[in-house]
Amino acid sequence: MAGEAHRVGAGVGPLLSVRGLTLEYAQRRVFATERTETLALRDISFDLESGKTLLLFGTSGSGKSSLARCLVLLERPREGQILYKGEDLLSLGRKALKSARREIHLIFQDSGLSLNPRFTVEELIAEPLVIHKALESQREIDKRIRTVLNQVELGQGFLERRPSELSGGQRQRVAIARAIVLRPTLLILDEALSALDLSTEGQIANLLLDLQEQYSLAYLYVTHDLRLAGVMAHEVAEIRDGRIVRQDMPTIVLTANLQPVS
Amino acid sequence: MNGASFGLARGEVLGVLGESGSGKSTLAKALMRLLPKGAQISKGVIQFEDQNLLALTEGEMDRIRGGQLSFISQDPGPSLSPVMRAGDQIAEVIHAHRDSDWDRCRAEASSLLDRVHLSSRSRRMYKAYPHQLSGGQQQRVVIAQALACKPSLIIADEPTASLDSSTAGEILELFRELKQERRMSLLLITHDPTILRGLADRVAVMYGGRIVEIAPLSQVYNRPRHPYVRALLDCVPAPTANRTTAPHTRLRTIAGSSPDPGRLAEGCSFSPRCPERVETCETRSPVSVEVERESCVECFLYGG
Repeated sequence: MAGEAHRVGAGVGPLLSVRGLTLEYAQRRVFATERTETLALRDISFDLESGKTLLLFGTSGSGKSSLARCLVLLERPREGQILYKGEDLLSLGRKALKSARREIHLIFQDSGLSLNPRFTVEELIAEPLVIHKALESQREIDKRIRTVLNQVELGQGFLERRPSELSGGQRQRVAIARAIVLRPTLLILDEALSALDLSTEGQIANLLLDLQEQYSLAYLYVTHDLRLAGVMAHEVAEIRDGRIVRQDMPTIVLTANLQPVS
Repeated sequence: MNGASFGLARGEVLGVLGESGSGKSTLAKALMRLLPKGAQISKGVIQFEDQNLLALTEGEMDRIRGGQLSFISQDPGPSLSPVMRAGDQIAEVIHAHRDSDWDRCRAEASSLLDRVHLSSRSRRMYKAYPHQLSGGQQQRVVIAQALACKPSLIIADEPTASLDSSTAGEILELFRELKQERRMSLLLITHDPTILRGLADRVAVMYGGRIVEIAPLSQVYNRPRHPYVRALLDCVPAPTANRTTAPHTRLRTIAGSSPDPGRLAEGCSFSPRCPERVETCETRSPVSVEVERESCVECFLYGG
């Protein structure tokens, strides 16, 4: 299946189009004279459209997180293209890249590690706006922060809190607020729901679904767990040893993968 | 944690179900007498076989821990020594508790590796260091360590939480086999109701440091009584959900968030989130009531 592109949904051109992505990690072992190369991703291709969710399923070591990191250019692939709105992110200049980066965000499993512990919630949400000089005046910034805070269902009382004073679910809400404050088009959710309790996981999943409906956000939902596939995803791609080995409707992948435990 | 009471029979598997902050890990540490500094057991009895664990000296407790009473933690990494071969780490446990002959200890460690399906025919697994093993393999080594002294009770705190779903399934299958083959009791702590199916005989559900419902598994899963338990089981996503045909489906959730264990309110700790709360719930704490044989619930709806 690799090499051949699959589409998530139908409509005009895809928002994100990945073609033949190949990533390798080179490492030199202690005392070894030659470098060994590990292929983390092999010829990955897929399309993702606005408003749709592609769930990328794989066990640990399958390459799913490498792919997520590639898409935000935290890794440099050896071959292939990452076409965002038709333009290859890998060949964009710095300025064009910065504007693309405003629109693509990555949310991790443990937001406790990605939120600066010394910042207040207000500072954390303001930071992306400041970095990207997205809004003109302080008044606009304040207004945007309050809107976003309401959207992630945290009250104004949270503005002064720091990450250590938040629960896991609340931290994940702050991470989502930071991501949506720049009005992005694509969110990459790398195990973003995996560390949460059952009752919190549902709250955050519902929040993501509501935001997706409202802003036509595209999600690449990277996970080792298919439990939420039916509710969250339009399509599931299974990655194994760095290759996409199967891509189909969630119902079909679920029937194939969920062996009864007892 | 507050006023937890339960018994565990020989050969029985008790599942402890709770979300973060519910006190489930504190319960495990209290049973092992491994509570961090600052925490202490102010009241109660832990009767294990024929002795009260709380009355033992540290030295006596050391002989029981790893001997008749074993513990398996969520993350196998920190419980293994990075500089010792997997097989030797198992042999060491046997040597410390039961047998002074190293050759016999090593031979037994090999057969334990076989037992947890880490085949030692080539001795590759025996000789592997923890960093050469996957998370699932490491967890099997820890289970082999726990089995080494033929304990009568194993306490496992989220033993599958750090593993992939397919690896987790294999570890649960191993527990099922061990349950059938040895008359060993198991206290299995988890936040995920699905993993207890087909394994636990009884389930204790914890909330805000208390056991709010304890009953046979079929009772809890088919006829949950406590409003929290009903709401929690409703949160399990339906495997039949289909986003393409029903795009606006949302997951069931419990409004609000789990209580901060340090700041528990007056009355029933679930009352702020409970759809069935009455006035008494906010002022008085319910007591545990046996609503049916072996089924106890802590809620005013059942006369608590």
